[in-house]
Amino acid sequence: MPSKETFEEHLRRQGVSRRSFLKFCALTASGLALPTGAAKVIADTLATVPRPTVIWLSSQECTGCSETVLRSFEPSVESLILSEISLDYHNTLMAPSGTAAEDARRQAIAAGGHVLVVDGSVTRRDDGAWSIIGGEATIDIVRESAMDAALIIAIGNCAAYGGLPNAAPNPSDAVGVDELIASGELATAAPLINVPGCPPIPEVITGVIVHFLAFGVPELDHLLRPTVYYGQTVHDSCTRLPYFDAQLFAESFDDEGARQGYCLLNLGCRGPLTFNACSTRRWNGGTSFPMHSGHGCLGCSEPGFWDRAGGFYTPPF
Amino acid sequence: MSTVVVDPVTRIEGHLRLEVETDASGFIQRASSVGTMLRGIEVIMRDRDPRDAWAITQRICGVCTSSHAITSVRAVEDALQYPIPENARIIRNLINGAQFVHDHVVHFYHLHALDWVDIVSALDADPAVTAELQRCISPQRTEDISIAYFADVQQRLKNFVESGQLGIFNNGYWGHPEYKLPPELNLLAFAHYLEALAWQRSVARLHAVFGGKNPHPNFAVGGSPSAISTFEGATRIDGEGLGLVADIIAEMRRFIDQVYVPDTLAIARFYKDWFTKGEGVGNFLTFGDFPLTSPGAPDRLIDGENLFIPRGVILNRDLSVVHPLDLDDPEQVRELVSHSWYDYGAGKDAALHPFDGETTPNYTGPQPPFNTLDVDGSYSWVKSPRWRGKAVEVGPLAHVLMLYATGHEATRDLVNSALSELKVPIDALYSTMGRTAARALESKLLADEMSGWYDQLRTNISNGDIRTHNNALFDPSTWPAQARGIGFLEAPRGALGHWVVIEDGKIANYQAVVPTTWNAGPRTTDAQGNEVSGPFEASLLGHQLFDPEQPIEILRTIHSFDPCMGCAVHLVDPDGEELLQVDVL
Amino acid sequence: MKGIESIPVTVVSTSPQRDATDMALPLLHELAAMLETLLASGEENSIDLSRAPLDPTDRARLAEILGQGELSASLDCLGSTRIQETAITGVWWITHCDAQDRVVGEFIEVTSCPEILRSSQQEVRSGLSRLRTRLSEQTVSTDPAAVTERLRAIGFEPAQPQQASPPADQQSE
Repeated sequence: MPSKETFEEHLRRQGVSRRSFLKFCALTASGLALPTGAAKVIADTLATVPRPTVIWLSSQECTGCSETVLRSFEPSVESLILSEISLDYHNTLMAPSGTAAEDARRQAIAAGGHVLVVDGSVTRRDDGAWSIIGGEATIDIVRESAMDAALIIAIGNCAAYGGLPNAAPNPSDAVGVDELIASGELATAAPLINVPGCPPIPEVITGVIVHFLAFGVPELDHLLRPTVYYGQTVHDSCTRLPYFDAQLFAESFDDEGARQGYCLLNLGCRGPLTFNACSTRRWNGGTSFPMHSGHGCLGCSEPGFWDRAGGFYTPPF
Repeated sequence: MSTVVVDPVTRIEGHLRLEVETDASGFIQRASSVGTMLRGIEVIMRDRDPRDAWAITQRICGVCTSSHAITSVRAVEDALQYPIPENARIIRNLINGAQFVHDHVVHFYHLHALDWVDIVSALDADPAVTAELQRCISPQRTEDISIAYFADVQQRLKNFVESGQLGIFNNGYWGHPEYKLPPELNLLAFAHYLEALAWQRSVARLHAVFGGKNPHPNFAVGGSPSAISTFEGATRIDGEGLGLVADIIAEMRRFIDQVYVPDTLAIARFYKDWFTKGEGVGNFLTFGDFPLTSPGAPDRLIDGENLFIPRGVILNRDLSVVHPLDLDDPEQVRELVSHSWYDYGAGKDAALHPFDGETTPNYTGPQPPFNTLDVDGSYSWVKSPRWRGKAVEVGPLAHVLMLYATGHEATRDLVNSALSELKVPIDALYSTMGRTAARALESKLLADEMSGWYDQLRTNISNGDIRTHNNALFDPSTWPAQARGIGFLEAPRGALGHWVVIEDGKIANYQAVVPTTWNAGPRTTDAQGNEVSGPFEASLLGHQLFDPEQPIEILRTIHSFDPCMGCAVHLVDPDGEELLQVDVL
Repeated sequence: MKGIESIPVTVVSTSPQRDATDMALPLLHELAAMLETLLASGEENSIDLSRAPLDPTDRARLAEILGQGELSASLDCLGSTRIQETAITGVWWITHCDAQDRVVGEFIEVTSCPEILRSSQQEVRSGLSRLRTRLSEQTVSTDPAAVTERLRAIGFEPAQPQQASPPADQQSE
């Protein structure tokens, strides 16, 4: 195998211009709230580091977290898979099946230094028999793939905190990666970053990878979420915030207040308690975010959001 | 006999394993389809607020991200006799229509294409011939058709291959003799693989306008939670937002007409042998969908009248008879677990209607790691639904056949012209390639319909009707102590139904029968003792594997169904201690 | 291309009496210091406007004082980017948009020429090789008879009527 190209060399060979690259670096630095000059550091670093090998393991998942990456606008998924990363294992997108697929994963693991992305919770029921890939329990595949990883990213609420499978009564004895590490069931020296959400915003996922390449692990909160994306509540930048401040609330989904954009708190909106970037980054290339389109926040970046008292339509306070 | 195992089957949603037995010449004699992952969503539903059910069931699948949610709100509305406004009906149709069109394109280019398209061969293409080929198969296309465009795409591909880090294309079956396309068509398809990635990202914005985000947009029992703005900018559903929806529908139609359909037909020309392989069971079922008028009474939706895709069953390829289907009839839709890792109180051979459904897991397979399963015993987490005991296929081919059989003019014209262009008879539809072609054709039918639905919505708004949600029954204190309802929908992968029982404002039982369960379920035994295979297993019989290490033939046929395993396997009960027994009211 | 006034700033209320608030003036002083540094050492600098909490009045004030210079450019990379030289030579206002033309980043750069405008050596080199490829295509592959022959060989009839030359595409950079 030829020696690995650097990130920037590869972009160049993919026809991504230097200008696009510089813009990407500038926007990433800005998005990560990094100080002036960081864009240049990112540009210089990415010109020297090899493209990272990414192994994406899907455990007990719904594929929503893979779909969200397909919706990434900047960088786009096509530049992501052809340019920014070397996505060596991803069941939903990869060409080979069966042993050829598992061989691709083993080759990548053998080289070490990869980024391991996990989506979906990990089941421990019946020695892991409730989630099996290629005859192996997923929990064992996670163990094998985490061993020599440089970084583990738990994508989505399921991988981070157990998500829906972990909701009461947790029939499959499912947990997130963090709990596996904490309980000693998963041994790894790699740092863990949680990128929760159901699913997370795609640009948050790619931003975390770029930050790791250029500067290492970003600042994390007590739930291991990057503070740059999860440092504010979605309420703080909500388009309906002025109505909250004025104490004007929609009381049903289609009353006059709802039509005028009043605050959705009384319809169960969890925005004030939910740390995420939905109202700042927005979704689908800035098209919208839940409250802007009329439904309250479900709180999907918080642990245990499926089991919140009173369900999704009870005001949080 | 030797056993070939394909696990993981990639380029699908979720976790699927196939075990096939081949004879000395590599012909498949028996196939077993295995769902290998289980979460237990229906048991999590119990005792929760039925108004939350859409969000939970939505997470059964992030690909058909609106399908379960709409089905769920319909089930609750059916139980509560809860009418929704006309605009909400249209918005749901637009969301589901967009789901079909989006899913089908992503399936064709990103999940299925690599079964037919040899990417490495595209390096040998002449970009000038590729450009001419593009003009020849899609004369109306005006963008991205130049020689320079295809030369640039080819150069990107070349650079990518030379980098040595092939990522998702690593270990593909490149150069396999089953790849039959000329290099120019391979290059064209690869260019459109990349274009389709950009296109799908753009058109998913339709869901974001109405639902705030995609994947997993928001819904509500009683209508649509997306209030229409009384002034520009108040909510996302304002003049600008609705204009965006119109632009997206136009963008969908352009891509379907100029890229997806022509590419499908061009590729099919080189694989005509696949119009005679992979049929499956020859029976087709639809629950029906896209209500065209708001039902007069809320309980009428379940009757299945006035739906764009009609409801019914076609047996033994006989298009002259569409059998009526009743979702409430305990004799019709029933699930079996004879070869699934579940027990039934009345024994392994019982067949239960969803309102009487039980879900008691009992994993009897080998402890991992293992090489093969005992396929004479239980071998899958997927149940086996049957219609009056018969295995049936659901999905795009069933949709198109149902429209065709019921005389839908646009469908007949479209199907007949595609068949005549390919010079194949109508029986060619009952095949791997027929299924793939049906998916492209139904995308066109739906994208075209969406324009009309959008116009209706705009007309209603112009006429002053901006209602999107009915709040009358949203408060659980208005509900009866006991209620049960059925929600149904056609998902991109076929017939989907939810059966809900509500007691004292909480979910007492919830059962879902989903498209890939119909298609992927393991075999069962009928009353006469004969083995009844489901569509996946039946469709693989007779396939000859050129190289068991590179089972491209299996992938072609299984991918033609567009499996969605997250949907197929979603039930469970904790420790199998408790039955999900429904008290029939 | 318009200038700063084309930057989508929503001016909600511009009360004429109001002075530049807390943010505009310090920023302008910072820019002056950056220009001095540029002159003294050649060191370039930039300010990320998304992180400077400017209210609409501040922005309008900032734009007004900086004014509009001679040079403006628009780039088409990852969506559009507008570059406007201000009337203060060496100070540039850069607005990055995404593919939907939504503003996703705004910077004021202090430099003699923003780096994003320059062509890199490597790109000039690959431009040369692309041109060579196209020249060779002109001589070999676009022979219409050969193209038609190959197309027929793989089973397709050329589209009618045949176009003399294909419409020019937007070149991806």
